[in-house]
Amino acid sequence: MTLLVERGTAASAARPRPPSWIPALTAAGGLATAAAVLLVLGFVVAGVTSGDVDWVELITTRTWDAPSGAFGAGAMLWGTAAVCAIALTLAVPVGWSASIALSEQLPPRIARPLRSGVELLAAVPSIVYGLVGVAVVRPFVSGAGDVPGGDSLLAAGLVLAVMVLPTIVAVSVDALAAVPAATREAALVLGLTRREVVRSAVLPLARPGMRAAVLLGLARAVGETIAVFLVIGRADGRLPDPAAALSSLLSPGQTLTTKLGGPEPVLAGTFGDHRAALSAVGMLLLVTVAGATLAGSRRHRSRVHRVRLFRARRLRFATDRAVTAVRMAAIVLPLVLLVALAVLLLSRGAVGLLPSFWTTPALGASGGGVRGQIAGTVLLVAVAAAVSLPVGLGLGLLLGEYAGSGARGALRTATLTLGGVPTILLGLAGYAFFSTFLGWGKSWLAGGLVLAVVAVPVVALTTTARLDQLSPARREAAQALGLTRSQVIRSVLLPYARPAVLTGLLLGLARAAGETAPLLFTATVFAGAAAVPSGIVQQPVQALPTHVFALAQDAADPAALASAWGTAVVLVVLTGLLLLAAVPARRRLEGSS
Amino acid sequence: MSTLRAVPPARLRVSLPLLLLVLVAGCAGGGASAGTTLRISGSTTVNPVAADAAETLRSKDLIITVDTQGGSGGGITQLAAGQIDIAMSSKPIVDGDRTAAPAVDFVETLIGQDAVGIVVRKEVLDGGLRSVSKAQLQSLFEGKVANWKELGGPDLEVFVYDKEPGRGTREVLDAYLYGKDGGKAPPPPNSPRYAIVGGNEETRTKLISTPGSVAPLSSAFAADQPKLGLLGIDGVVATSQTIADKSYALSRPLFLITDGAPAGPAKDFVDYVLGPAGQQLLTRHGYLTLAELRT
Amino acid sequence: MTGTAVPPGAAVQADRVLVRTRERVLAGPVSFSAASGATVGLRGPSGCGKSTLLRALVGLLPAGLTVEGTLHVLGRPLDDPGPLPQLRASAGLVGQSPVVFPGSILDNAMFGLRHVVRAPRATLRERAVAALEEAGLWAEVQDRLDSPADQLSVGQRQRLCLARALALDPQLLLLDEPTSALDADARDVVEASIAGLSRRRTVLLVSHDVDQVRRLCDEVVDL
Repeated sequence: MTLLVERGTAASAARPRPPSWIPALTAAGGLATAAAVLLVLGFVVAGVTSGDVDWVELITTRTWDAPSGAFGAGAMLWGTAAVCAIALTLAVPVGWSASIALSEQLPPRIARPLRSGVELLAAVPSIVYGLVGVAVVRPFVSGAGDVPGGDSLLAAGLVLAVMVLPTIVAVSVDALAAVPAATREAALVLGLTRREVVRSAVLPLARPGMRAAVLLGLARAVGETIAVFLVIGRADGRLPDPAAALSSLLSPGQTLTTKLGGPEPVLAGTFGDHRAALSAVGMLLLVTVAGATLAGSRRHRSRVHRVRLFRARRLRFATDRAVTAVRMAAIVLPLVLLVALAVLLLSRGAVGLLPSFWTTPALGASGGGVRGQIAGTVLLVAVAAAVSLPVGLGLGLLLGEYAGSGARGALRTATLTLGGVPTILLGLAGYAFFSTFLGWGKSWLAGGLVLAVVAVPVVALTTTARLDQLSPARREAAQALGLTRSQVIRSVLLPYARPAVLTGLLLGLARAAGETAPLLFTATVFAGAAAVPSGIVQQPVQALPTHVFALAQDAADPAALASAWGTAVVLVVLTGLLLLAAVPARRRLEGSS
Repeated sequence: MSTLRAVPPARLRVSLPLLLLVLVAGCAGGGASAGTTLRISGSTTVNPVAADAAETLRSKDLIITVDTQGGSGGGITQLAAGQIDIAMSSKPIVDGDRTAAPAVDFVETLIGQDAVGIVVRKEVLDGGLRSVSKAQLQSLFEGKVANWKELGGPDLEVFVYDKEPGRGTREVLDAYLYGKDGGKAPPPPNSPRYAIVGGNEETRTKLISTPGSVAPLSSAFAADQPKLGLLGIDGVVATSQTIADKSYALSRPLFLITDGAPAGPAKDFVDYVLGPAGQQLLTRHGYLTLAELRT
Repeated sequence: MTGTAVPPGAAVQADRVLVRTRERVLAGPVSFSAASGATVGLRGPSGCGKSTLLRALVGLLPAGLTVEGTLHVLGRPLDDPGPLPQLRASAGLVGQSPVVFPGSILDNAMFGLRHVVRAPRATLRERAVAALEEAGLWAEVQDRLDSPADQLSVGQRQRLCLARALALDPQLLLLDEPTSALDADARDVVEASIAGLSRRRTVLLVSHDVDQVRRLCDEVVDL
């Protein structure tokens, strides 16, 4: 192409053609990402404008009653705030303490496997936590909290606490690990105890990152649908007086996501006040989660201005020992969680380890195995992989290499926002566009594309993060040899980024494989889908997470519950395999950086 | 320098197998494209019957998918949107459904009869409450009854599970309590002892796990449940007899609904359910057959 | 002279000391003694384990390394040093590249003090000011003690690190290549500060720079 002309000498005649697929790849990445953002925004905006939305009524009143045209989301906002507050109140102190124990107290030899364990917990599909909610948390709250049945804001908050704890620990540990070892040494050599070093030297530097961990945990809690849906009771209109706020935690409620996860988005049709009000709920959700995600992902370059000063105290060494002990105790909680989850899965879902369960098709409501569900999940994940690899890589290159600083900021924001979009909104947007507008109905392709949207930001952000680490010298060395930009990307950047791309892809797919909410609306049916779809349009599949979701609702039937646990085991094994596949690449990443 | 060759495209080792997988899947699918797909969705009440029928009728050439997302209302909406071929419904089509989708010719095929049971935990019945009046039922589901003793039952707190919007069960109950189309139904009560449930399985699960609870639920789903029982309405308890002669107030028809008269695989499916083998399925799942209705 | 004299009350006394991994010896064997008030240079090529040895003196040996031989620091044997924070407060280590903590210049000068010493703030401040003077930084920072420490130049930061250690009034100062990260001018200033340290303190200076060791030290030990 004409790229060669500027050199214009005899040497150029022998030059290899610059790989033209690289600009195409980045362009495709950019366009596909823009399309995904448009898909979500389009769904929300088109919905909101399809009828009248009284925003003041929506935010300040509590009564939601579609037949009488009352659309107040106050109770849902309260519910969302309450469950998130419960989750964070429990998970933040434990998560922070555990992360300090992991990063600052335990020897690396012990801390490293524990870190992996926590990351494993963070990757457990939320439907598994939902199942734990139905089978364990709900009865627990019912018994211990004297809550009839157990459906309550408290139960939802507890499930979310369990879900966000690993996120908070994992991100906080990263923030602590980023504090240079020299800082710790500089404080240690002044005669500070371990605790004083952490408090006065390490935390001031790690605190922004640890706060970001909380915001990311918050974003996950606000956006979670399925696990909350199963245990919250979904009762509208429950906005308590301030005096009764605490006791109301023991009764059922509704959140923004559980409203959207219910039947109303399907019943409301494609236009009108009901659809508009639901879309407005979606917009509230989107703004909240995007805000938390962006705030949590901000890069922390700002200097710490105010420094809290701690004075020497009596019993320095005793205090040190006590605080150390408390932190070690905090690490026990995530570990207990990990062990308990493993025990639950293996004891109740042992059937999921039988080969016959994998190879026989489902029979009736809860019999047989999950062959069709495995095939469906593999197909959905394969589509997501095939789409998110080029798109995520292209977007990552665009972010890390092509975009100017202004465009880069905007792109990064878009990518982060996309990564933070609650998956229920992805599902509804996919339903509105693919299923209804394009007339695909429920389609494996629609589901795969929606899952790709889940995976793309992960791929792109890990790629960019890796490219940011590339030393300018290596790039310059290549440029100095006269390579064009595409050639530099091809010969320097891509090989350098490959382990990151692979890691991002596998992590993204592990997340996508466990998604439930988006598939319910776009791709899956409970029974009868063909193992291999015969076309694109109106070809639903069955999938593991949605299967668990359906069975979990029939938890009073022992056969259904056993099958739900077995299916959960299969799902965990499959996501675990994806994570395991990422281990060698991650090791290479950590080794070479 | 002349040995320099065109740079080969990066070997994206991961993507190739995956792309291949998709291609293989696509090709395999292309080969089997002769098969037709019949998509069924809707009521969790009708679902057991339709699911069993689908198991029998499913073949290499006929794929039958069954789903229950959104219940009867969800099924009707999806049928109206052309996303499914047969909607399962535990409530009749109402004017609201027709006005929402004027272009759709809803054709209801009656396949059997069921009843919305007022299902309670056994201890409520054991406490002496056997039947409620329409007015009592109204105040119960409006969250105005705190304790079963207010209705003459045991000293036990009430916990109400109501079905989510669009569920056939809820619409049948609303139509009984508040008139046709459930038009005058009040918004959900602001009671702490009130929660929403979806499908029949979820309803049953939550009733079993909640002392003092009550919910509207297909009476067939409460049968053979040691912890659950049926409250009568105005002295009439749902039995085959009272459902068939419709003396039980919440007796309700079960439908398969199509857009226009059933045709092709949809017709085969509907015919099968109407035939002797299909009608046996209704009996198996606790519903009344068409024959039992007529007698 | 090196390593033979064993005066009572030597701040550091090493007898056939080795630093090693399981596989190989990193430094030593070396024997030396640093008398109270002396400035002793430890000199050797880069990577010979000088810094590791210095860290070993205050119990900061990296995992996987061990020290063999007999080593006394401030009168205590290394294998029974008492509470390490106490040892470290009286044996100040200043590293190769300066690490300043978030906060003001005064915050940094008082960083160790306010954790280790229970005293009214005014007293702590006096001690910090005295330390800044001893480190030769006072004149440059006295009118901006409350401005952020990371605005200082590298040379100033290194002297701030020195002051931070001096504020604890250590008997022993361990300087690990204190000028290797600095340019020539900054190096001269820091060397002047080291030369101006109170004679009460014993100084152990690790450096690869022959001339520097010769300029600053009373005795030189080669590793």
